Amino acid sequence: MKALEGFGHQYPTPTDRSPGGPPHETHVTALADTADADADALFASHAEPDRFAVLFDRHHAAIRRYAASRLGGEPADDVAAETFLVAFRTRGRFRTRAGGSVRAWLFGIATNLIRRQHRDEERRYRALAKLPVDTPPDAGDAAVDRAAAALMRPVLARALAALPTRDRDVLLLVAVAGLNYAEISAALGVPPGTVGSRLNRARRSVRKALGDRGES
Amino acid sequence: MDEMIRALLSEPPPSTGATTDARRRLTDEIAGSRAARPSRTTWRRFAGVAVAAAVAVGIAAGSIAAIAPEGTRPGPTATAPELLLAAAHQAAAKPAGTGRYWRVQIVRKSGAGVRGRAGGETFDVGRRHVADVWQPRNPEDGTWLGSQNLGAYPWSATDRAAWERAGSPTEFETFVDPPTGARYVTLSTRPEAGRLQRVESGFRIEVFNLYDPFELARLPAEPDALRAAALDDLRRNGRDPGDLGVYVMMTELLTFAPATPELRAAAFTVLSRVPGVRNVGIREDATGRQGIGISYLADDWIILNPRDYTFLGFGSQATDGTPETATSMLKAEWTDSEPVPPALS
Repeated sequence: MKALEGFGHQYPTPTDRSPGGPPHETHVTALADTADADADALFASHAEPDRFAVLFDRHHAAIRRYAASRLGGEPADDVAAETFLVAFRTRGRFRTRAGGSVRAWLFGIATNLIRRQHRDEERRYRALAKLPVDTPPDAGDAAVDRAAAALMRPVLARALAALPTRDRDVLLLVAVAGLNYAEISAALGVPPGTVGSRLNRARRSVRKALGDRGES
Repeated sequence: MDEMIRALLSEPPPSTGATTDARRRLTDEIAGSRAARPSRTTWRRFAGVAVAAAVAVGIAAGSIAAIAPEGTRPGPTATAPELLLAAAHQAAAKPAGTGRYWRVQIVRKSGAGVRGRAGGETFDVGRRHVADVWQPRNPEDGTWLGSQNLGAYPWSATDRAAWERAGSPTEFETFVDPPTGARYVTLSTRPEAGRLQRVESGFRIEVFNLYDPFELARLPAEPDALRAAALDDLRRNGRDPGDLGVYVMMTELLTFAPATPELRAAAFTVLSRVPGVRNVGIREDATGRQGIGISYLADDWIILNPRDYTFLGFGSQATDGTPETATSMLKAEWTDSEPVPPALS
């Protein structure tokens, strides 16, 4: 059952929530730059905090997927929820911190929260490294490929576990979250060049681990 | 490589419950930021205080009922329990309402740190909105939501002076995020026309994300049973079963629920027995009406009409220095009239 929340405030109605809907609370007459709908919602949330919830609706699934990749399902539920609480509380600092991409900013917050739970992350890679490999009953080409991939899983898990956290952050923001250099730069607050060098270093390490295993 | 990493690390999506909980935590946080009512976060923050207060004052609680006999008219300097018991007696004497719709109309003012500028002056800006909710006795009549933007206004006397120096403009620019100042919104001091819309079926009003007013109205109308039911409800919903929770639930009930006179009286009585409720002096509601402020939380109060002890509204001020918010109850009544858009000025 859907609930109309915030009754007693300037409660948002479905129409009011859509960014293109009729301006009910305010007349938006001048927007200095052509920021996307996320930035609009974030901006509006200073005067109308309810507007912030739309960012959850747009990004929670991706943030949670990223957190689950690194921490597993249950800790990820918490981290993803906490990400939006932190984001809401610190929304006044958004612009300077993430160069305009709300998405990148959210992933940056999530990454910081994940770092705090590095024990969960280490435990997860250890567990993945120990997972039994299913050997397929049939021997078709696809099955062989799957088996080969399955054999590499523990190696990959160990390689990820062995990466320095900073390098792993960058690699997983690319591989799992799909962020580009500029976004990662904004999310982590490091220069794009540093993002590039960390990513190269991470890829080299992982490739080496996979290659060594492949050759043996 | 990236494909392999994704395959290795992929996890099933979250349960619907986990996502709902996460969103709920955010909307609670948002509600708490406006500090109109204590959010769950606030509850946790105050839980320790509440326990300490209960221990300190609990001994006296049993004897309070004797202080304010029926028919007395305690003045603005009376204690909170005296005032609340007087309110209970008054509430019990009111006739029960009838009608097709339970209508709650409120005006809320908020500041939220918006600054306006015009003619070289800057000033803090407040805004006022009407919310008007018509909930049907018979679901087929539908739930209707009215809303009206009453416009922006300079927040304080100082702000008003600056606004007047700027020529009392009816429209002015505001900037919300001063450090960047890149984006502007124009606000008007003129009220807009009210709007009314029927809510899709299945929509449910949740008062401040905490309680359903119709559920609250079904609570038992006897003080001890009411308090016990409130504590049960808090326990069932994973909230701290204590005086703070009881205080919040009773104020929600008195504010929004279509409660019988007996239940309202019981709720006032339960409130009067909450250790630590106190008279915080004259407070103003969102429309400028003055009443007696009664508070349990440090940053949150309810306002009683000094003449008949009915609810005028409530207000709050977060401890972080953000401007006070206040809400006026204009209507909370059963009515047979057809829903109409709010038309305040």
